[in-house]
Amino acid sequence: MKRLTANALSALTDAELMQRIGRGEHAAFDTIYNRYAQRLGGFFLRMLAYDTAKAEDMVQELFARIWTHRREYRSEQPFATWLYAMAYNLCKNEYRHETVRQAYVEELRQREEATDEPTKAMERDELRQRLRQAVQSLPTAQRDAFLLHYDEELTIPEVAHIVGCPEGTVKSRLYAALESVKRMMNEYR
Amino acid sequence: MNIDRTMNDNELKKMEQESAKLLNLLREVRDEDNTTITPRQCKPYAQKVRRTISPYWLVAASVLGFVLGIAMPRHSSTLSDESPYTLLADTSYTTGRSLAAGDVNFSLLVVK
Repeated sequence: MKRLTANALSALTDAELMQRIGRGEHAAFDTIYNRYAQRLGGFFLRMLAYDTAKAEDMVQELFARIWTHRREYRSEQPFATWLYAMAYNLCKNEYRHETVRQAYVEELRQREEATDEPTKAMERDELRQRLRQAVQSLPTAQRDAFLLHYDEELTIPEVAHIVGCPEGTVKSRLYAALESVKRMMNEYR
Repeated sequence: MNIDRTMNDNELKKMEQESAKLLNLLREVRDEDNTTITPRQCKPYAQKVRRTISPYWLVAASVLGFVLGIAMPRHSSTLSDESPYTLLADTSYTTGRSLAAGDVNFSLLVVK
């Protein structure tokens, strides 16, 4: 297979890049890395209660796994589903640290109580913090579906495949999650 | 409430429409979060992956080591395999050196 420049590689689809990565092409791996590392960093951050160090470790761990399992990827499967399934499984192993999430929610709550009259900019900032807090307060199954669908923009069938449950269940979880987040946000107003 | 009950698309779509502002804010938060971790910070790991030694090289190195081990002349085996006198004879024979200078102490040690 002909070697391509970084520019030419960045024009390729994920599946085409994975085909090259499967043959050990490091430049293609770099392209996939640059395409997804930041986005996945944010995903891990939200999934792991905003633990930055842990999220960075997870991004690295995930890309190491991509490299190790590069030949297992089948092009008929959407790359995002394969990628997020791996990312989600990594997070599931970390769920035993659920206390970290509770601690984060508590920390946000305390920070909010400590704040006096907010300015306009602070209000906006606070609103975002409250939304983070509301999402983190959701039951794990609801939060996972919520983040995968609304933040990572995966379709409902993709989310169902990743979390391993029927599409109807995903929809119910999304509905319940939206309802809860809305309620929590309204309580603050 | 049983949250895992089946739900039709319309119910969810209606809820999403009602929550449009909230979902926009959620995307803003997402974009902000995504800038917290930069790919550059993670780059060293990608380079580390490159340095991984292929298992094929490890197998090749082991085979080469084994072959060299078999091919090595007998006199290079360990002291315990040889009687002191054989070793002495072998050493002086293969190196072509007399038992002089630096060899003397060694020879005496073995003979003793």
